[in-house]
Amino acid sequence: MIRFEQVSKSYLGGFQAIQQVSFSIAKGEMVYLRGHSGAGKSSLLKLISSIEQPSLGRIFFNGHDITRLGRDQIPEFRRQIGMIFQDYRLINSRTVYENVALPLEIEGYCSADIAKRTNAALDYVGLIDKSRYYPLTLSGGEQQRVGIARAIVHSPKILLADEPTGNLDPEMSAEILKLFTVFNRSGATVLLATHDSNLFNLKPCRQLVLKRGRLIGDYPAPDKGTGKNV
Amino acid sequence: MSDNRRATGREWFILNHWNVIKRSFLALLTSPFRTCLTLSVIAVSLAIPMTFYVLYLNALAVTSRLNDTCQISLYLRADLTSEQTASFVEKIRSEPDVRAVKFISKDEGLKEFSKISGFAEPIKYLADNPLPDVLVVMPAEEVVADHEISEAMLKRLIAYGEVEQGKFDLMWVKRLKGIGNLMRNLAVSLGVMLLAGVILTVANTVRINVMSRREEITIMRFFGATDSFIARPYIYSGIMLGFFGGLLAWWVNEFFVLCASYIVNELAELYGETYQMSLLSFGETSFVVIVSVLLSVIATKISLSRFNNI
Repeated sequence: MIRFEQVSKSYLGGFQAIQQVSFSIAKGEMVYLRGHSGAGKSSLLKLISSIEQPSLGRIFFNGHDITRLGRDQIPEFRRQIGMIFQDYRLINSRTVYENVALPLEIEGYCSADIAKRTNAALDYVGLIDKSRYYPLTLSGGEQQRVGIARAIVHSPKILLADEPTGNLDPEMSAEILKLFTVFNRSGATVLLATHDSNLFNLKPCRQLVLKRGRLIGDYPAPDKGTGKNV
Repeated sequence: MSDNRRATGREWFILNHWNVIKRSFLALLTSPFRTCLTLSVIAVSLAIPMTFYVLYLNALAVTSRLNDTCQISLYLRADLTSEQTASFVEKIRSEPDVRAVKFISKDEGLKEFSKISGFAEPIKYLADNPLPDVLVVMPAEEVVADHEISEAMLKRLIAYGEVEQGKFDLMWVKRLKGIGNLMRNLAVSLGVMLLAGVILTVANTVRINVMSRREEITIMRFFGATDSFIARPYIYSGIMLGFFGGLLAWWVNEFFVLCASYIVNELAELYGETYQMSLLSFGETSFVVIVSVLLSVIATKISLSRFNNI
């Protein structure tokens, strides 16, 4: 589904965020993207979602080279992706319902489908009774669940989560992880950038490990029988 | 995702436009002070050239009324016989630049003078009538409108042997026309400057709105919002500012012109005249509102073009 071919990203001033990274992720996989702060996790997610363009190399999404997308093609491409952020990034002037409905509004869904899908997404994250609340009246965990509902409401092909549990306690993190796992079981690809090793212990999956912009490890999902990486 | 229905027709309009219009309107109401300031600047900027334009139109109306009263008085030689006078009157009447001719005999002239001068009694004691026969010539409009042509006509008429003296005083009409032209030029030059002011004001308001919603725009972009989807609420805000600013400008202009009309009427009454100042027509008012909306949309687009990369 996603293939990186010798991708590098450098910023003005010469800082190398990503250096010659190559990997591929299959459809329906759940993958952890691990590494210390500044390892390049967020930069890599930005490259997948075309927020940033690579300095070198090519990125393929479902066989299409997304590094060659025109400015007018990027919005259509991004509609296939669901994004979750550490700081939730909700629109505080809109209600929970309006926040979740935003991707559907952008895609031009009809009102009936917007209502149906938004309520289903809110039900999925357990916030249907808080649909009329404003984000700032919710707890951190609830805000992140709103963020997840918004990311999955339009049934994206891939879910990109950037430190989704970074601001949450372990109990809430486990709950959030459950939501990702259920979504992944429905056939969606999930790429979860985190430095929280507890998540891996709760739900062991394939890991891509970054260090100073380089991919230093690609560990497959552990065998269910032995618990060791295959 | 193909099993989901995309909005079409009326529903698409409601979703993409009507809801956005409502949201844009509410956004303007959430910062009433800023909105009022912007509307005031637009209104004053438009009302000033509008007022000069109305004054120019009124000056034009006054001078065209005065053109009808412009006339050349030809004082005829006293020794002309009545046949010579009648023949001269016919000759002048057939001149190409002459609209009308009125002959006032010396007796009629004396009667009128007695009536209006207040010297009726002393005049009775005059042995002879000292006034000449007068031929009042009303020139064609194009003669009155052009200073050089009117001067040439006066010279030509005076050159006739039958004429003792001629008079054609157009200076004050020309001064009034000059003031009218000044109004028009002021309306144009001030208009250009102030309309540029409207663009800058609206652009600045939109810029502040965009800056305050920068994060929201970024989030929309993450979920695949197009430039037009993001720009739509700001464009509608611009249209609303332009529309209401234009209406407010019309109202301010009406207020000032009505105040001026009262003063002008008082002045006209001193000369035994009445004058009702004309206001902008519905078409002209609509034009101003449309210009205001267009300028606001241009300003919004200029402002948004700077933030396309958010």
